Amino acid sequence: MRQRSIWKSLAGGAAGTLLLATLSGCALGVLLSKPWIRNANNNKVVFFGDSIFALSGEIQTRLYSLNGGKTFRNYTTSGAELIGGAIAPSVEQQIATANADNPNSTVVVMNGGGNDILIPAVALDPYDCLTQWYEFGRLSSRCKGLIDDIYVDGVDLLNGLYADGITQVIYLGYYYTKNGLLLVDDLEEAVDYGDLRLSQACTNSIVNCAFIDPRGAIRDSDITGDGVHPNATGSRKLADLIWPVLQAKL
Amino acid sequence: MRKAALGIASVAAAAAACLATLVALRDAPVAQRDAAPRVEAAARPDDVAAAPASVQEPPAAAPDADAARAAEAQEQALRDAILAIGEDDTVTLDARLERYRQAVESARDGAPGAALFANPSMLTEVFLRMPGVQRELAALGPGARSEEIAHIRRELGFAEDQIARMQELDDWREARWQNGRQYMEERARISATFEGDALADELAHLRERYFAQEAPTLEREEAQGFFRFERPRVYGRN
Repeated sequence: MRQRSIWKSLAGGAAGTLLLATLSGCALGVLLSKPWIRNANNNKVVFFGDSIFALSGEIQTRLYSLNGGKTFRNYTTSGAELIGGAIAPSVEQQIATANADNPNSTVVVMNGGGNDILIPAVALDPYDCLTQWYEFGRLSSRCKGLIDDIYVDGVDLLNGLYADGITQVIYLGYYYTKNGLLLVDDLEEAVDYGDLRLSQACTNSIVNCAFIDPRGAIRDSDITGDGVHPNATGSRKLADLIWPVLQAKL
Repeated sequence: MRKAALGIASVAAAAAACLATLVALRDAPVAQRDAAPRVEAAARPDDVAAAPASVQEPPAAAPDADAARAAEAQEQALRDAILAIGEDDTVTLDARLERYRQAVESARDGAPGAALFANPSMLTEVFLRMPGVQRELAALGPGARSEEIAHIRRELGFAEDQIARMQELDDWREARWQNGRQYMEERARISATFEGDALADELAHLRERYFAQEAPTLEREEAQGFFRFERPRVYGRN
């Protein structure tokens, strides 16, 4: 029997309910996100992605501070999947909305793909993306197949950004999650393969894309008690990884 | 009745989760979001050093442990039941969908994590990725397949406007697969005919003809040994 249980780990408390709503992409995904900024001080830059950016908003706050207090456009939403999401606006939908608002941004800072792996993994793990000790670090072929599909979605999305007039993309990868309210420490191999494929999506796309790998920077102590999201120090570290790359594109 | 039940249940579960969250947000101090992991997580060896000294297995933990074991057994049974739906070749697509709905409803009943099972995207993708489902969808003509996928999405909680949007995405992906398969056939012929620099030149022209400005993406993928049109086709997903 697997030594994990969503029921056990989420058995009670407001924090568990909050996290579930965040991950499930229920309408509260929008409410559990920092407000979108559809018209910013600097409209050249636009953010798309999931709750890593959207839940606390601290990554953007730090970047605004580094940018002399000037804001960037922001459409990140908690619960966002890369494409299709039925309730929370997916990254693809965020891009469409942003283009309708103002098609003149040229620099994108984004992430995406994490919820596509994480949500099923914590809901019974049907693709076997959680690697148990007895699997000796081998990620299942089903999980690799899922991630390969996410790769293709990702590279097609990036090529679509190029067609929309975006010239520069900064793609933030994912760090290792930990056991917290969700027992997701066993996602390491999925995170490794996911980051490999997302970095390839970046380099294989026709847009100028820089992939930022946060795995070496983010420790367990940089992650909140839910096991997934960055806390204040984690957000600061992520922002400080992004800023030198973003600053060169401003 | 049952056909509508999951859609209604999906919306209801999502609404309940959202309502519960609103209540939780109202009642709980913000600091609780970053509260220390529950005992079960904190007690794991990796986390012992970081756990407060006072975080120990409580004396009255036996009922909790029993409940946890029961919950794990329930989760395992549910996972097994869901995977079995995809492996059973004796049932029709509608029967599979019905069994899947029942399994999902079971998961939701009284589950504190019900919100996760109210995510139509996740539910639909799990169902669509079942080998038996794909075999049946592959056997249908394009029109019937499209209707069947729309039916599946509707039953698993997608709204009509979302179904229409996903249909557009399906159509776009289908065109990509048709184009890609023709490309792969021509690619095989060229690879059997040319070699060396001539082969590289021919393939470059071929990629440009089929993929226009996206040709460099295909070239890089192939250099990495990844041929996207040799992936398993998952109708409704890729």
